[in-house]
Amino acid sequence: MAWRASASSLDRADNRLAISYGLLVLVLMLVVSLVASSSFLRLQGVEEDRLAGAIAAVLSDSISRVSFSGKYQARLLVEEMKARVPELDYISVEDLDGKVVANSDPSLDDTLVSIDRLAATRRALALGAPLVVERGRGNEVVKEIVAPYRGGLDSEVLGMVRVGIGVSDERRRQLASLLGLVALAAALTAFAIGAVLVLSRRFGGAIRNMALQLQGILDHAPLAIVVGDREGRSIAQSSEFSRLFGGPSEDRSLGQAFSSVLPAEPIEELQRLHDLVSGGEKMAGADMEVLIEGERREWQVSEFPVALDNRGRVDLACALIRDITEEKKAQKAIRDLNAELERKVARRTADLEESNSSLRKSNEELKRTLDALTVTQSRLVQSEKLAALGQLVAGLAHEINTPLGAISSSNGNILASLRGDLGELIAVSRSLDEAEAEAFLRLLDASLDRAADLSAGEDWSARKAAMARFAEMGQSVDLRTAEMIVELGLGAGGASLAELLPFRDRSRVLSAVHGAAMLRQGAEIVRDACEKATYVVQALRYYSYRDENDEDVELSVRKELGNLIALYRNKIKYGVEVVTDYADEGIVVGHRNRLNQVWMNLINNALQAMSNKGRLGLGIRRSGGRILVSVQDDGPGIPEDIQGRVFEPFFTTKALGEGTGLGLDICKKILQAHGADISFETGPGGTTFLVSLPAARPATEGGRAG
Amino acid sequence: MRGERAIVCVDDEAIQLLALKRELGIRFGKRYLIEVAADGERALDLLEGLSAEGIDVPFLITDWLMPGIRGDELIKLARARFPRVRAIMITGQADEEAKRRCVEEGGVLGILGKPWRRDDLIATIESAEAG
Repeated sequence: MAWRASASSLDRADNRLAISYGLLVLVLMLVVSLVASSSFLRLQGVEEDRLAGAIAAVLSDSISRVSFSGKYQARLLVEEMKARVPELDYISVEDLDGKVVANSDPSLDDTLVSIDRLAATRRALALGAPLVVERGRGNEVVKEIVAPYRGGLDSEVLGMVRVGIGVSDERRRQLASLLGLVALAAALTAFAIGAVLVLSRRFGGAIRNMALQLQGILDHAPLAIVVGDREGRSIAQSSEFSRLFGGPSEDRSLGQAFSSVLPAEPIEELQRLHDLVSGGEKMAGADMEVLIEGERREWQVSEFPVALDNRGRVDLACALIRDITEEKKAQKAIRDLNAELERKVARRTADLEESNSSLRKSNEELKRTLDALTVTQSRLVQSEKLAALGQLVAGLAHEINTPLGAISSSNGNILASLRGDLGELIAVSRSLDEAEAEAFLRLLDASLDRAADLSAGEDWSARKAAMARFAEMGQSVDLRTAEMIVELGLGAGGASLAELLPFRDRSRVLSAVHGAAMLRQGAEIVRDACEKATYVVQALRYYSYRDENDEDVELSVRKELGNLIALYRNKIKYGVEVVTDYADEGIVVGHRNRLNQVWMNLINNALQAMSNKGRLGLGIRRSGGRILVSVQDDGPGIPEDIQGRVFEPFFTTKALGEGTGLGLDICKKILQAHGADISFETGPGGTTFLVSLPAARPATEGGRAG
Repeated sequence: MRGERAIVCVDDEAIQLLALKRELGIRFGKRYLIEVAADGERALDLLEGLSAEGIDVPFLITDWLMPGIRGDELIKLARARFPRVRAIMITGQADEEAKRRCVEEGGVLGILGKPWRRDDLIATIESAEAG
């Protein structure tokens, strides 16, 4: 039977089991009852026969003694016996020919018995002993005893006595008791059924639960499960199995069920189920491909033994079919994805290798470029220097041209007036008397000294003041005379014309002395201009050095800054106030040329930051073993967004051609090479670049104030 | 002093100014007062002072690059106040744009470089006198 049932059908199965069991018990009871009854009846019959025989013997003996000589005697006897033994149903005496001699029913006297009774009579006669037979008489069952009676001298058999004893009542009693017995058996059976049901309910719970669980599994498992027996029939199957192969059937083997669905090859595989049962293998399984409703599905089929009989043979085996189509699909998808991934990885790896090699290539190229750049950089350092120098050139032109102009002009003045002035001077000196000559020499001496002072000849107001003073003294002085008096430094003081110029021909002496003073002045101008030009040229000389002068020397930052400021003099004198705060001489060891490039750069930047107008602060102080050099401007400060970039190479805020943007980068590199570093502070009030250099000496004599 | 004429020289470099003053004085000292100023502001003051004295200033000789007012501006300002003033610029360093502007503004007799040739300066003034 199949476990194709729910809980209610399981109950029905229980009931059916109980009923079958009950019926079986009932039948057994009945059989026992019947056998018992029949043996009882048989024993009863034997007993009856024995009693009947005894009665017949007594009877025949009685009859023999009575001697049936006559019908009347026989009839009297019969009547008497009938009266004395009322249990006798009838009594009949017959002769050997079957003629009724006497009968308890007188109407039967002298009749002939029927042939079959006659045959029975004769059998009794042949036996010589009484014969007991049972016969129906109407509705009554009668036990008839046939006994021969003898008579005569030879005691020969003269006839037969037939006595009928009614047993119907007895039989009815017997039947009643039998029926009672059966009823008892039925009652007992019913009780037994009830007991079985109760017991099975009470003690079969675990099995029941197990069965229910199993049923649940079979009902809901998305697996085709079938348990087959040795005949290849389904013992139990899951609903999925039923869906695929049809419901459980007594008429159909599993093989047939399978072949209704499966192609030949899978059937062979499933044949293992049978083989498993008969062969007793442990476990078998295979994957197969089937076509279900036109759809290709993949199955994983496993078979395994479920129950063994007491000889260890497999009695039941289970086949489990799992649809692994989706799983396989998923696996395939994963495999495909993996393969795709691997392909991608391979491709990416190849790409990476390619880009790697191209990176390597460009790396090498970069290395070469870097080498080239290193070469270029040193050129750029030079070119930056030249650019800064270029900035200076225009100013320097002026710086040189201005003294040159003065030299040229003064020289021309001297040449132009030398002969006349000298001649006049000699002529005047000759014309003087002794007193005058002395005053003349004093005046000439003082005037020549005065002419060495090249401070501005701007004397219009001084001249006017002098003229006004002389006018107060009643002395009239023309403009040109007044001019000469002031130029010769004679205008100050309250001296009168006579005191200043104690000469008869004042005007001539004054002009002659003035001419001489102008010669001196011209020469002084040339000297002064030459000095200025020399100073510029000397300052410039630092920057005409090429880098072959590579030695580190001990140098004074203060001096170097002084030189630089001289170079920038032209640039800064109009609107730039240079404020120096030199608390230390700033003696360091370094490359003069390169360090000057740093200062020049910082000063250049500061001047640009304040558009050549404002306050340029230069400071040197000492802090421990370091010399701190500051270059400060009061420009608008470095904008916040470019503060982080000012040391970047090629970063510039300057217009094209004004700077390469390498300035601060080069400064930084130069300073690093000197064990120095550079930093800056900036804000709306200006920017200060601070350079910290290692001091050349551990201590100074205290440094002179700037 | 009325009837006097003056040439005003402006330069921030004292030696330049002294040399120029002497150079002009040798040549034109008899006919002109040679007055000097160290910067544009003072030059304007000087012009005002001379004018107040009734001194005519037909020539203004100025440097270009100076603190404060630069040469070209000075010429403009001076001519705005004293239109008769004509100028000569002597410069070691003037950009072409400033030179061009100066000439276009008018009243500029010439622009001389440093070092200038003595004859050029004298010729410029004399030709202006003659013209």
